[in-house]
Order: sequence, then structure tokens, then C-alpha cells
Amino acid sequence: MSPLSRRELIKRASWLSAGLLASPAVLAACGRAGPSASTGPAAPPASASGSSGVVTGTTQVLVGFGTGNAPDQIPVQEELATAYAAARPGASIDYLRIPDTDEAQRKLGLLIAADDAPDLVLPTGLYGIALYLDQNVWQDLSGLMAAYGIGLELFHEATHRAARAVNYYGADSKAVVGLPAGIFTHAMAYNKELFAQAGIPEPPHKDDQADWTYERQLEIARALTVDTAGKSADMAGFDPSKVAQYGLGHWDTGMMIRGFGGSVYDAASRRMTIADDRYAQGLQFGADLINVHHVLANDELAAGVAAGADDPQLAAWRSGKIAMIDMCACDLLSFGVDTQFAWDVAQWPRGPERLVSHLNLDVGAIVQQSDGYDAAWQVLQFLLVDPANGARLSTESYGAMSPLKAETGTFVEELKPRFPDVDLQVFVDALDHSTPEQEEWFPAFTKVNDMFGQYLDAVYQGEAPAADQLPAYQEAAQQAVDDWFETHTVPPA
Amino acid sequence: MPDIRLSPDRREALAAYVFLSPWAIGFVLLTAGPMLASLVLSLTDYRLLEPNRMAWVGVGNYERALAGDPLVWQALKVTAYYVGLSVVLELVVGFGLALVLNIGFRGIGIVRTIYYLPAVISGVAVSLLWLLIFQPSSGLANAGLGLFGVAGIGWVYSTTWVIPAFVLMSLWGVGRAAFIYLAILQRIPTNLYEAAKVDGAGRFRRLVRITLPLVTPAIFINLVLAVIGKFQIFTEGFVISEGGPGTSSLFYVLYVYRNAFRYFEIGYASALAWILFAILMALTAMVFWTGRRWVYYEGERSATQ
Amino acid sequence: MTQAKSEADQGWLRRAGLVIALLGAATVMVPIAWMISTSLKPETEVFRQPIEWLPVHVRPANYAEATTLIPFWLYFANSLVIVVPVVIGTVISSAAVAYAFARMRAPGTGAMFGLVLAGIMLPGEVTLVPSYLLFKELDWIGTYLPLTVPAWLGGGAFNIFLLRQAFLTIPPEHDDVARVDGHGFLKILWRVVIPQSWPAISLVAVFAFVDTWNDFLGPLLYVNDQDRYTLPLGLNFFKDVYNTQWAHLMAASVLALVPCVVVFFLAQRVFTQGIVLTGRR
Repeated sequence: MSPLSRRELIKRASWLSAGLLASPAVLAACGRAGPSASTGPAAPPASASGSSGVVTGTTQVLVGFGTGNAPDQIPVQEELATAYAAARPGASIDYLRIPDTDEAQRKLGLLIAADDAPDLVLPTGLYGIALYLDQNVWQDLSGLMAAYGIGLELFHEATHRAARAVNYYGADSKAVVGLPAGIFTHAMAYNKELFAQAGIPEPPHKDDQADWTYERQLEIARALTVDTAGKSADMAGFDPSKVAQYGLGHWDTGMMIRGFGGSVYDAASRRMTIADDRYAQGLQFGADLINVHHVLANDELAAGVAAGADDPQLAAWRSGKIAMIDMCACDLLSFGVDTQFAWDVAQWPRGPERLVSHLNLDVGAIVQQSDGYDAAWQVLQFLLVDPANGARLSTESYGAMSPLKAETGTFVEELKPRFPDVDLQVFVDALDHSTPEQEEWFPAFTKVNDMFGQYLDAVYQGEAPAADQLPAYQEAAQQAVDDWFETHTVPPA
Repeated sequence: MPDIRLSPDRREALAAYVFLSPWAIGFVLLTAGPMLASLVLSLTDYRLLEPNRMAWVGVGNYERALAGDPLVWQALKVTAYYVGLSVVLELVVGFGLALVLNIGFRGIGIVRTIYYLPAVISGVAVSLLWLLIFQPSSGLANAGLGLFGVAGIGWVYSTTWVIPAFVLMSLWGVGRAAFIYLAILQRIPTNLYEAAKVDGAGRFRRLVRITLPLVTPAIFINLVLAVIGKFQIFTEGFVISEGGPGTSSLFYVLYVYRNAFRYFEIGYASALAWILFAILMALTAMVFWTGRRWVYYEGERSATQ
Repeated sequence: MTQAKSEADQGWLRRAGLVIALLGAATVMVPIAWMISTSLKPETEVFRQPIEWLPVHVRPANYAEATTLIPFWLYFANSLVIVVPVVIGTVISSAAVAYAFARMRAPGTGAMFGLVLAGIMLPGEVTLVPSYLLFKELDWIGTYLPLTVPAWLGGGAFNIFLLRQAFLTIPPEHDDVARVDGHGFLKILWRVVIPQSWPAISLVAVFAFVDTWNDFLGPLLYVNDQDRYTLPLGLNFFKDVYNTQWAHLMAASVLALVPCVVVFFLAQRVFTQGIVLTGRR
């Protein structure tokens, strides 16, 4: 053979083998047995064993969709796993811990695409649920719950809407996407000394005060925002560029929008509702707190009054430079420690339309692609439905409130020794008006949320009024929602 | 080679293929496959967990990216700005640093180690550290500015300063590039300098006439690798500013990541990636082509210029 | 005589350059100093203002705790198990490949070099899924193979490119001397080229060590058994979505970077060793 054709042959052979080797990868990517997305989630087959037999097998639990991997959280989870293996011979729990939330969320997708899905994801915040909700990743638990006689009534009402993913399955559906595993409610923490110094009565701890409104709170905030010359924001001559102390910080302006009656999405009409008047008013109110009244410190402003912790708001609060903050029960271990002043918690004020505060909910969900959903359900039942185990997991490991109605009180008992002077009952009472709506799924929600900064940063910087920016945002968001409906359907009711 | 019937040229070619075989095997086995797969996927609307729905869209993704998605151009703009600033600075500062680190005074080893430390610290700690440093009021960055009487700036909270903040972060790791220069500088025989000194050449002349030309291989590689590498900046952007404020630090690969793993549109994300590939190919080819003029090798012989 | 010794004249320019470099080194050290200082503080004092560079209460227990709160030494050992074969493989295979590109003429090598560079021009985000599936087909998921094998197959575009540049600076006349003696390519590589490229080669070794030691994404993707996690993964356990344990994280990070510093310090001595003058075999 002449040298030329030999070389040609080698060249062609290499291209051919590259192509041959590429094709398995492509075919593998395409041919993975994913569930068809047009039908709704599959109900578990009727072979679910009744309440008598023990289901054997190892259940792999993915931990990392939020909290759960801190060194002090792990021991309780391990103890519960040992107890499970003892109580259910032949069954065991294997934790797959991924110590970074974004990577954990990415890895779940990868594992599912490669047919290596874990059985359970526990705990996961609602963002993680929503991220994969329209990809048919989560098993509908209602069938299993019915088979084992477990109802959502065991859990506090505030968790039901999210556990049922109402925007996706529909208000009439019985589907359940995850079992509540831990709840964090929000209260308003306040610096008692700053209130005392200004001679202002402390805000109410019960949520039945009709006059504890956003307006009243704004009044107080103005009195408690003080510049370096000692003038408060409600005095003439107040200099907003020299603020030494803020009335409000670490705030959730998003929740205030809901207090005005604003919402983001209406499932019935499939329309985004952010151009609605109430949303605009709520948004403007929040932005004005920063730019017009100068009572609310955003991150940059907080970093200006007190110095650099890993969170400027935390630094400002700890140095006593903020009078009132939005405190999640999850913030107790950061905002609640190392303060040099006396503080307590009050209820969030009521907005013009609603009294509402945020609820952070963690759930446990079964991955639909897993083969061992019976065993996975057994684990869920053991960890979350059993009152003793559930309370231990929620409170001792996650540091949250148990979502089981019978056990919500353990939260106060557990934390009382650490926070003796704080009215922890406020967190429990907040359940009455708490809602996880802020983290609910709606079509194309990641895209719409990612657009938020693009359109609305200007409002929060005081550079443009909400009314100007919202129509464009609404249009872009609605377009994303409409695009979603062109390629997806929500499951039939 | 026992086969004496092969001409020297063929022997050389055979040897070349043998020596190249590890790379070739790796490329065919592990690299080419996934790359081709992603190219094919870029012509579809493949979504990560919905393989059954995949449909062929041809160049639809590319059209959408270039004509219908303003964020793509924004991301390219942001990234190009970052690359322009950081590559130039790294080239210049890195070279200057290497010149100094080349001096053999006692304790230079420790100084060199210090400059290398940034490369050595694990990613988690680094990103968190820089977040602290860039805190507007108490962070070390503004404290440093304060020493010179300059007012503090918003750093990663400001749309104007966020990219310069990232450039600063990349300069912190300039040691890595400097060492590549150093490795080449170390090879320059001293008799060249001696001869030049004898001829009366001053310091600057020696730098420009001897050092610089001989270091061009290092400049070349740093330039190419810096452009390719910095265009793909991701982790720092992801952890520190997440594309904000607004979209002023929306690095291109960050946008690719979002499309791939937040919106699960692997097809579209692949198209975005291949657009970047084309850009980098073009830029690299340009550098190589002009490199013929200004890069000086003493050992030129191969065909791979 | 090395360049260093011959430049022993006391020029003011040299001193100025040194001063600037020292100032630069001090600046570079600042974040690192903060790391070390933080690692010795009790958690509650980490963010006291103004910054306390010297901890008021020194707490060396942070280090002991950092190694027990997570299975630090297990992860350390795992990292070592991966790093050693990677460094050896990288040096050997990238030297061989770079040598071919630098010194040998063969049809197609130009295109191949283009492919080498092409490999790093595509953002890894989009090859993640096909790569993962490929490794799954090979049954390598859950093992260290996806992390160690690529090192032996060329060692990466960066190293190939770097060594190619380094080899190209060696005048080919050196090779000819050896070739006249009847040595083949391998011997030339071993006897002539490599001895003149120790700085570049040691650099490749150091980069390979450090990059692999700090690789977070690789083990995260391909290792599913927590007992086989590496150090970067372990460090992330100190960072939680609600709370970061700064003191312990810094203590663990400081411990984690010691091997890299040692490796680099030893390797950079090679930079100062005398280089071979022209004409020497």
C-alpha cells in the first residue's frame, strides 16, 4: 500500500472511531428512560405492601438541598438511621451528602439522567421541589398515604398548600409532593434598648392587634432611624446620608408585597399578576422604605453603619445599629447570639389587605425514578410521621419547628434554655398567618426570578418607580409562562 | 526502531504518533465523544430530564441566541470587558513580577511561595474571603483605599465596579502566570547578558533586546491560555455576585450554567457553549497567526506553529 | 553561573523592584493572614471590629476540632491517593506529547495540536451530562478512575502547551549532538530535552498537584460514597446555608494547604538551580 493511502486510512479511521464513540454518548443522553412528560406523575403500583410487612432494602437519601449537612446536624440523622435499621430489620438508610446546595441540585438532575437516582431527598426546601416539579421528578405520595392511613391533617395547615403544590396539581387535586419535615416561621425581632431609649412601647407579641400595621411600623421606624447628629427621621433637618442607626434591617420586602394583597401568579387564568396595582403598591412601599423614608437598610447601607461580618445585616444588628429585623426561626443561631443588648420578638404587622409572614418549609420527597419507593415511604414514615422521631429530626437536627400538629410545641421547649428572655411562642403563633407562597412553583419560575434584578433593581435603588418598571417585567414574565405552556402541560386534576 | 526500511521522515512520523498516542487515546475515548454529543445536542431542544420530547431544531438555538436573546450579548460584553482588563494586566504585572522573582537573593524562596499561595487555597475559602474583603464599609479593600485617602467604593454591589473587583481578584493570583515566565527566564543563558554588557548595552537595552524576545514563548502561552481561561470564568462569579447587580457581572459561562441546570435547556445551553467555542477558536487562531511574527523560538522545527 | 549570581551588581533599579515585590507579597498575604488569624479565634470573635489581626483569645483547639468534626484525615488520605498517580501520569504523558509537538514532524500534528487546544475551549458545563453518561457506560462512576485516568492520557491541554513552549526554547542543535551518537527520540528526550527543562517540568508537577488537590467539582460529580470524599468536599461541610463555621473552616483550610505549600517550596528550588549552558550535553 502506498504511504499516502495508508495515511488517509488512518485519518478516516480516527474520524470514524470518534464518531462511533460519540454516538453512545449521544444515544445514552437521548435514550435514557425518562418518564414521558405529557402524562401526569404515575401513581405507585398497587403492590405497595400493607401496614403489616416490613419492606427491606437500602434507601438512599440525598441530603444537601438546603440544610442538613452541618457537622452538628449529622449525628442525630445518623442515630435515627441506626434506630431505623434496628426497628426494620433488613432495611437501612444510606445518606448521600452533597455539601453544596447548588451542586446537590445539579447532581440530582445528573443522577436521574443517568438512571442512578437516589430514593429520597430529605430535607429539601421548596425551591428544590419547585426546580424539579415540572420535570416529573417527585413521586405523588397521596396513594401511599392513603394505603397507610396517613393524612395531611397530621401536619399543620400552613404546610398543606405547599405540600400539595397547588399551582401545579390544581386546587382540587389530592396529590402530595412531599411530607413536611421542618418549618421555620418568621417573627420581627426588635432591640429592646433602642425602644426604651426612644420611649416607644414595644410592638405586640400577639397577632390580634388591629393597629399594628405597616403604617404604624413605618412611624416607629422613622422615630428609631437616627443620623449622626442625633436627629431621627421624623425630625426636620434629618440627614439621610449620615445615618447611624436604622429602624429596619434584614427585611423581607417581598412579604410586604403580599401584605398589600399582591401575588405573583394566578393558576386559574395562567397569568402573571405582577402588574397588578396591589403588587405595584407593595413593591413601591418597600422600595420607599429605603429611598424615601430612609428607614430600611439594604446590604450596602447596613455595611455602612457597622462593620463587615460575612453578612452586613448581621453585623449591623449585632452592633445594635438596627431596631427591627425580620427574623426567621432559622436565624436564631446567627442573629440571636452575640448580641450585646436585650432583644425580643414580636409579630409581623398586618398589611392593608392581609396579615401575612413568610414560612420556610422543608419537606421530604420521594424521587419518582427510584425503584424502592416502598422502602422510601417506610423511611419517610419512620422519620417524619412518628412523633418522637419527627420532633427529633426537625428540632434537634434541622433546628426547625416540627410540622406535626402535636409536636409544634417542642420547638419552644428545646430552645427555651438558649433564649430564656425571648418570647419564642411568637414563632409558634405566627403559624396562623404564615404562608410559603413566596417559594411556590409557577411556570418558568427560575427564569422569571432571574429576571427580577434586571427589571426591578432600579426600583429598589430608587431610580425608577415601580409603576414604570413593572409592565415590562410583566410582559417578559408572561412570555416565559406562555412559552412554558407551549411545551408543557400541568397534570390533569 | 528496528525497521531500517523506513526513511528518517517516516521514522519520525511513526515516533510522533507513538508519543502522541496517550493524548490521542484520551481524546478519542473521553473528550471527543462528549464534545460531539454536545454539538449534536445543540441542534435540538433537548431538556435534561425530558429526553422523549427532544426535537430537531437545526440552527434554531443559534438564531435564538444571536438574534433573540439580549442576555447573550450582555454576557459577551461583560465577559469581554473582564477578559480585556485582566489579560492585559496579568501579562504586564506577571512579567514584571517574574523579573523580580528571578533575582536570587536570600529568602526569595519564601517570597515566591507567598506569591504562589493564592493558587493553593481551596475554592470555598477563597470566594468567601473575597466577599469579606469587598464589603463596602469594613472590608479590607476599602480600608486599603482609605490608606491613600480614596473614598470607599461599592465593589461587588456597584454596577461600575463589580468587574474591576473580579479583575483585582484575578490579579491576586498573578503568581501563577509569573512562574511560567520564571521557568523560561531561568533558561536564558547568562553569557548572553555578559556579552551585551561588554558591548556597553544598558539595563533597559538588555531587557528589550535579550530578555523580551527570549521570553516571548512564555508571553505567547500566557496570552493564549489567559484568553481561553478567563473567557470561561464561572465559579467566582457564581459564588460572589451571581451575575449581579442587575446583569452587570453576568459572565457568559454563568449564563450557560443557568440555561443548562436552572432552566434545564441543555440544547440551548450547548448552542451557547459552541458559540463561545467559535469565538475562542477565532481569537486563538489570530494569536497564533500573529505569533509567527513576534514569538521567537530557538528550537523551531515542528510543523505545529 | 546562574543569571542570578551574575546580576549581583547592586543596582538601584533592582532594589526598587524588590521593594515593590515585597510590598506586593505583603498585599497578597493579607487575605491569607486573615485566614490564619481567624483559624485561631473562637467563633464568636471572628468578626469583631476593628479587625483583630492578633487574636485576643487564641484557640488552637479549632485545629483539633476541625479534624474531628469531619473525617479530615480520611479525606486527606483520599486526596493523596488521587494526587500521586495524577502527578506522575501528568508529568510523563504531557512530556511525551509535548515533545512530539515540539520536535517531530508528522502529517496531521498541526491539526492535532489544534484539537488539544480545542478541548479546553468548550465550557465544561455542556459536556458534563454526556461525560457523566460515558463514565457510566464504562462503569467508572463511584471510583476514582474519571479523576486519575485523564492524567495519564496527555495530562491536559495546559500542561502539553506549557511543555511544548518550554521544549521549543531548546536549540535543536542539542538534539543533533545526541542523534549523531545514534540515540533515538526517547533517549534524546530523556538525556537532552528534559534535563534542560526542569523548571517547566517542576511547574507542571506543582500545578498538577495543586489543581488536583483542590479539585472540588471532579470528586463531587463522580464519587458517591462519602467515605471516599476528598478534602475540598470535606471543607464544604463547614459551610451551611444558614451558618458558616468560619473558625473551623479556616483551620481546616490552613491544614489543607500545607501539602501544597510544601510541594511548591521544594519544587521552586529547582528554579534556582544552575541551568545548563549552551553546548553542554
